[in-house]
Amino acid sequence: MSQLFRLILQARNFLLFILLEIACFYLIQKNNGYWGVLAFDTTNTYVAQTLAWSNSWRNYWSLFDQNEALQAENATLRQENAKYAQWVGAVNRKVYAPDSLFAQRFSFTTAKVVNSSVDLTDNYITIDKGTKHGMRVGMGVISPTGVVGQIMSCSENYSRVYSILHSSYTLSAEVINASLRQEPNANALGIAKWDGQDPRLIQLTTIDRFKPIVKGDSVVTSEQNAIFPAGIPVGKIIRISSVPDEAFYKIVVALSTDFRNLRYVYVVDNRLKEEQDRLEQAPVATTPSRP
Amino acid sequence: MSSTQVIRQFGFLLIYLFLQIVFFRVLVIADVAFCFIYVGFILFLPHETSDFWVILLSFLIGLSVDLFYNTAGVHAAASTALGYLRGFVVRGIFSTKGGDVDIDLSWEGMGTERFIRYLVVLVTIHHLLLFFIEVGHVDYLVLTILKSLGSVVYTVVVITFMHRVLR
Repeated sequence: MSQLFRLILQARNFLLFILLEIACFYLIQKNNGYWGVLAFDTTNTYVAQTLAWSNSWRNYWSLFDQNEALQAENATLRQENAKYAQWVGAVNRKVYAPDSLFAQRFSFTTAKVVNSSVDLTDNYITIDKGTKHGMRVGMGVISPTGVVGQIMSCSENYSRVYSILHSSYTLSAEVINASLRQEPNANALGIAKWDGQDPRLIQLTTIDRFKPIVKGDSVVTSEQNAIFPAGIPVGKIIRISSVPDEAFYKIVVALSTDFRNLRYVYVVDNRLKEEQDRLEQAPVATTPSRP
Repeated sequence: MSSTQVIRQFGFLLIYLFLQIVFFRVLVIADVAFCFIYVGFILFLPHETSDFWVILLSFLIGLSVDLFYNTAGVHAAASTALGYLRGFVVRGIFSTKGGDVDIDLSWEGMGTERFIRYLVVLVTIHHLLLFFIEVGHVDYLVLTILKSLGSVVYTVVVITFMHRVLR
């Protein structure tokens, strides 16, 4: 018995090392889970306050750029506004008229970024709005220039956001250009997913090779997601390649959001999302009944 | 270790964490070179510190850095390994001295060549572990190795500078 104790005493450093490494990998495993519930991240109040403080001087130095971005956004909003004012009269409302509840389902909240990373394989952003301000897990996050990500967890005053620069985040996106717009049924839907390398580029897959797509086309969020409004910019296509044996293009998109300089973001709340999710998960009838 | 030394080291711990989180978290060179200056704390713990405490403190400082990097466990795993291997490397580098009499882990106590060797060996081990654990696979081998080596150079230069100029 005393020999056993001596052995343990001799190997105590090694045992401590192994024990702590096991703890570390347990944490890593837990952190990779899609809904990590540990408060062991930047939504922890003290951590977030420190980060907010250390970011404040950077905010000051970027005021000039921020102003420019806000002005640019104002301009696009004006333009959109004018477009819709005309659209109300122009479109044939007999074909499809969205009712007002559906058209007004999105609401926006402004939040300040207190921490963000772009250089890791799984990147997150911390914002200064939490459950107290109506934030909920699963809400979309956009910036004045494009898509940012989705809320992963909330504390009372802060939320942690999956950046689209995350190895397990996928986004339903759509390519738009003039030739696709002419045919009402020819839409080019795809899935955007980051490959973990360059924080300025994202990969777009599952768009088949016969769609008329060229370099320079815009990529925006599609109608087929309940998180973001349709038409939020993702980026511009900078490279298209296709392998003869494969059905899909390989597309590289330059992101329109500059993740390195994120300061303010909008959190998007879709009031009808729960209803849609409930419907999509509801049990289905096995045989469609006929009238 | 005397209580004044313990307080001194605790002060160093806070300074290293402060520098890491406030400055070097944002000072990334060209997306590939990161400075993890906090490893300096582990490397320059006095030689009298028992290995047990070195490992435990390495784990704690790694965990604190993880909090701010949103990487629960990654930094802790790499620095725990560093803390464990530190003892072996020290013994290896000072093997010619025979026994562990008056080993001083500093530029003056080690001599330039030993100091740089000590720094480069341990920082390389730490950064390779860190980046490979963070990425979690070997698909982007070249990029990961490039990141690790770029960061080794950056970290070693900054730690040496701090050690020489500011202490």
